[in-house]
Amino acid sequence: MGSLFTAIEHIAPTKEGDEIEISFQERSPLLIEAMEAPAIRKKGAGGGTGPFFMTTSSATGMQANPNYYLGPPAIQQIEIARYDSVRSAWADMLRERVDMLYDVGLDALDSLEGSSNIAVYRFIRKFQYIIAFNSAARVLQPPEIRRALNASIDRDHLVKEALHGHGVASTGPLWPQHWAVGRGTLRPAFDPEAAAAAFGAASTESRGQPTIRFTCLVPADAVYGRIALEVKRQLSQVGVDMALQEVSLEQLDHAISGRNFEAALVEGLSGPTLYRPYQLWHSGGVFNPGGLGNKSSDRALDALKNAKSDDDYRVAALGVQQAFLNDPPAIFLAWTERARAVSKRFVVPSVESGRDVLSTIRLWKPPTGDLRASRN
Amino acid sequence: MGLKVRHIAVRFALLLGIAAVVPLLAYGFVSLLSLERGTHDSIVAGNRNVATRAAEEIRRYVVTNAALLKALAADLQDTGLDQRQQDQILKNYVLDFREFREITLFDEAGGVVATSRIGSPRVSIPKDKGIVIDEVSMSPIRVDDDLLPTSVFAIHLTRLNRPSGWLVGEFNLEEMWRMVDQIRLGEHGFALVVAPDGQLIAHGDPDKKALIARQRNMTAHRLVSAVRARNDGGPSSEEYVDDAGRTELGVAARIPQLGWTLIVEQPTDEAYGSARQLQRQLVVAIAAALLVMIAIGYLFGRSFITPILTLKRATHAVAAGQLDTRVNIQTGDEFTELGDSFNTMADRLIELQENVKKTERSAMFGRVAAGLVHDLLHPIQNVANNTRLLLREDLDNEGRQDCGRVIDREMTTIKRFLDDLHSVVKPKPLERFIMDLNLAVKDVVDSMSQEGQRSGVAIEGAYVPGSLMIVGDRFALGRVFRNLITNAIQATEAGGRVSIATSRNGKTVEVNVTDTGSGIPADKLSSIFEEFVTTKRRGLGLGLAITKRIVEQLDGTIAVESEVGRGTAFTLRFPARDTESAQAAAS
Repeated sequence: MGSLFTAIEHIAPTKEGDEIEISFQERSPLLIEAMEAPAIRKKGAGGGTGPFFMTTSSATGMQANPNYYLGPPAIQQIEIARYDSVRSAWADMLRERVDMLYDVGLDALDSLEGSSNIAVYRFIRKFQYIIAFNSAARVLQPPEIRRALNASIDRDHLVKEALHGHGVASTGPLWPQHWAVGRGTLRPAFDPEAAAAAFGAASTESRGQPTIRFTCLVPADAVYGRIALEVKRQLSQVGVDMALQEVSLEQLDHAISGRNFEAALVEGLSGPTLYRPYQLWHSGGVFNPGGLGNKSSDRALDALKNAKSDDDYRVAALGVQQAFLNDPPAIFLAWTERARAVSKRFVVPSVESGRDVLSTIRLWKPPTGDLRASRN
Repeated sequence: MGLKVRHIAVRFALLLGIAAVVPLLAYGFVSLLSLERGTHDSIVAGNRNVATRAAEEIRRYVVTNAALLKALAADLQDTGLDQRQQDQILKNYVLDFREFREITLFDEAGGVVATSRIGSPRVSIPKDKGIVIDEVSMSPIRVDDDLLPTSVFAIHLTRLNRPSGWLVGEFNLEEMWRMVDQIRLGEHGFALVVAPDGQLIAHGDPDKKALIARQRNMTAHRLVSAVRARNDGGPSSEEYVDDAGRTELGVAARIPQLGWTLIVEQPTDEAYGSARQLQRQLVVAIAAALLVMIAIGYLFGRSFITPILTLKRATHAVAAGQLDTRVNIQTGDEFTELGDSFNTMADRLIELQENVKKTERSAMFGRVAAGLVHDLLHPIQNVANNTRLLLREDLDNEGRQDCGRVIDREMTTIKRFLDDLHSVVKPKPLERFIMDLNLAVKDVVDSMSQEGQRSGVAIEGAYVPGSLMIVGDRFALGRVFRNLITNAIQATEAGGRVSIATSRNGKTVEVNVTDTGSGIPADKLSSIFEEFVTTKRRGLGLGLAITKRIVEQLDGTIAVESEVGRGTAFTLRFPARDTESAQAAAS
């Protein structure tokens, strides 16, 4: 549970012996929401409480948990294959070398959806594309610049052009369907004229030249590339020159954790609880690579952590949104619509609309008599 | 009788069939054939048209994108843009035109000037120009890092007629897939595109896109070779069985400018589905028309046959004597007239029957009167004459005795005549006793010998020796034999002979009365035993009827054989009663 782990006073079984009691040193709604996050397992330790756990012998294998409390899964073993790009994985899915795609690329969605051999399950991910700022970067230090950058982006247009409509314009750091956020979502307004004026006021450059220049790190992926190019185009229309630098994921992690960047296009896990944005944006958050957020966001997130009641929690959530609007540590672009693709060689129970089909993986099973589903 | 009705029905059905059903069936058969052939041809032609248009659309799509790259090249050339601006233009271009995954501007030495990619360019100046589309070379389809087919467009830029670099764009074939996906025929008809080397580069069927990833070579596809073999460049069509065992109607059209082949496949079940549905509808329509026609024919035939059956039944009833039978046919056509005629005929028959009865009664009365006159006149005249003689004083005793005998005899004759009449009106019960038939016959023969002599006819009796005992009534049998002998004498010319013979035949006793008279015509032979039927010119015709009745009352039979001109023979048979006779004698 990250830094909140320190809040645990003790864990002890109840007298009945079939439950455990967790005592915290302090009161925080985030502690309850932290239960949603998977436990961090010590590398190579194996084991787990879910329907599947990593095998100790293989870094890419998972095996069924025969003691899973809802019953052992029908699938005995899962082999995970890593691909450099979503397109490569999709191509192997077409070749029927894999049974499931964890992430179907936007390019592949249309091609796979019509197939009678592959079932595609769409859902809105709890991740969103963001261009995170390094608050230490000189050009991005003024809050008004970062506010103007947020106001420069037409997110709906971005979703349409870069994501081909497969996404939802972002409203901020918090999952908009969280009960504490509700309908009172604060979102940055798209106001390119005001943004251009702000950039002009801050500029020291000569006429005809971009007033604001910074470099954005972009992972080497087609979708990231399109988003980056679209953002670059929109920013250029308000006089911002956002240079793009393609980096690998390792390079990106290294740059962010070392605060050796100005901006970075990343996908940030921001839901479904407020625990996630807390851990991502708080300077002490376990999911914060080190360079994300700022003092304003820390204060707002602390208020969230220290809320004593539901009402306090709602007020704190509003405060977080307001803080991120006033002193935005990033440009929040879009929640991504993604899809899992599952070969119809598996019988997959139906799931509620928008829910991740992986939540039912323990119930997946190949048709009778076909125990080895994949052909690889 | 029923068979005849069926014959009429069959004839009517045949008439209906020949007149309507057969032509309708022939029409339907011809229509089905022509529909099948016509729709087949039109469907194939339609699919060929679709394939041709789709091929043209794909060609235009590729050519348009080549033109886009050429337009981009024009934007980049001779416009004085710096590297940053060129870079920005390229990046915007790939955002606006998804068909290009990457566009990179190279200088003549191969150095990168600007690129749409954020990182290093992946494309390079193609060594193989491939085909040229309006100064834009399109490389042969190659497999990229993800083992998916891709192609590269390249334009060799010039400045002042000197080579100045290359604009190279990676053409996104997966974007082209969307276009191919939209080429649909029905629900299951899809298009596929084959590169010149046979590689499958696009398939509209989502389930068969895997074939692209598996780098399926389609050279062996029969349509690929067929369309490539055509000199006129036109489309080819064939029906064949695909990998899934489904019969497909395939049409292939070439895209000569690109060297690609576009194939449009549609399962024949679906392609000809509408035509087959039309055929089914036509069959149903013909069947329905046939049924309606048969129903109408049945109803019409029934209305046609029913009056005939009614008339037939009525005719049979009239024939059976039910002259009051009438028909009520209200069809309003000739059958109504025929029914009315039948009723009129029946009315007329009753009138005629009444007339016949009147006539017969008159004739009968005449015959009876004539018979009475004939049979009674002579005896009465004899009685009258002899009575007048008796009144004369000059008649001696002997004469008076003769007259008395004549009067007595004639009165006997009159009485017998009246008894016959009485027997007809009220038959007299017989008194049965064991009697000797020989004696009874002999008595009658002897008593009538004189009458025969008077007529010049010899009466001969031949009796079987011994007695012929039967149960009979002597008086009634005497009347029987007298009737037969009298008739024989009357039918025999003078000089002729009447023979009466008795005989025994097992348990039967026979009496044969044979004459050499005129005989009885064959057509009257069967009715001579009926009352008031006679072959003579005079007489009531009661004798033989009474004779037959008496014989049958005594458990006997009477038969007649006659031949005109040769004579007549009556044979009477009675059961022999010798046992009763012996018992009677013993008692």
